[in-house]
Amino acid sequence: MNERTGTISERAGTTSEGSKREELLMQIRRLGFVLYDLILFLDTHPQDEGAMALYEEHLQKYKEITKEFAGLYGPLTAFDENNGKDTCWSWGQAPMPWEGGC
Amino acid sequence: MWFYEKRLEYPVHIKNPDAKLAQIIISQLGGPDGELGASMRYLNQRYSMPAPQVAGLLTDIGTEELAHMEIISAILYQLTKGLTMEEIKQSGFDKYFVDHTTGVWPQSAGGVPFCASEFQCTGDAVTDLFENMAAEQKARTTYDNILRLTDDPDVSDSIRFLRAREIVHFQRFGEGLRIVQEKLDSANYYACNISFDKKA
Repeated sequence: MNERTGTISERAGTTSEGSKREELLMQIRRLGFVLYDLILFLDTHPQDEGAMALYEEHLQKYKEITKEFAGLYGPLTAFDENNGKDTCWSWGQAPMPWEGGC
Repeated sequence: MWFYEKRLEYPVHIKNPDAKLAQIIISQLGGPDGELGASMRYLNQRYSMPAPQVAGLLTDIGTEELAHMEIISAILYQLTKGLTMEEIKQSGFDKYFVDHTTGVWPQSAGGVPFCASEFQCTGDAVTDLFENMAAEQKARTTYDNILRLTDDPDVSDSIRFLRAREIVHFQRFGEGLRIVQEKLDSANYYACNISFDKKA
């Protein structure tokens, strides 16, 4: 599952890998958006138990999927544990998000 | 302290470069109601915000504005990628191109460079929160105008997301204002200078 061949950019560049990467990233973006909107809501509604439960639920999913993404395509943040597991520095290799890949 | 997450908050996939449109959208990077001014406004106002809860809100909205600056910059980058010299001259983009080539630099659509005078930090919580609510509405109006000026669905898609966020931020700042006002001294009818004049 965690087998790596080629550079991160090469893995992201092929059509099937590219679309799997994009699909995972779309899920990360969806979950990340729900979380960020809940953060702003909880900032002004800190007693809202329903919102807090939703936050917890989505945070767990977010952690799982970002871990899966990092294992396959490299980390989204420099503090990711997957950074040290490659033969070279993964953080700098992945394409920048404005290139249209993300 | 901040960490960078290597993804856009909302995707930008623009198929057709359009230098004329880029010259309009650049206002939401460095214009009077753009995302750079928004992030600087909220992040600077945090220190004189007496309610820690609202200082936290300013941090989180200010941080999201940095992500919006990145979305606008990605739109500008993709709209100006692969332009021919002919397109650059015909679209009027040559006036920007001469100084910046296709680098992304904050200015308004009218060519006015970004300036800190475009936002305020008065050190007065009530004044600042009213400024923020107005700023969110002004940015929403600008996005409405951008949507009136473009028929490229790839561009409109990302712009609609940014427009919707202005509405949410307006709502949250309204709640922040309520939180601050609830803590006011009942004798302070005019809600003035509550940060500077408060007793130690």
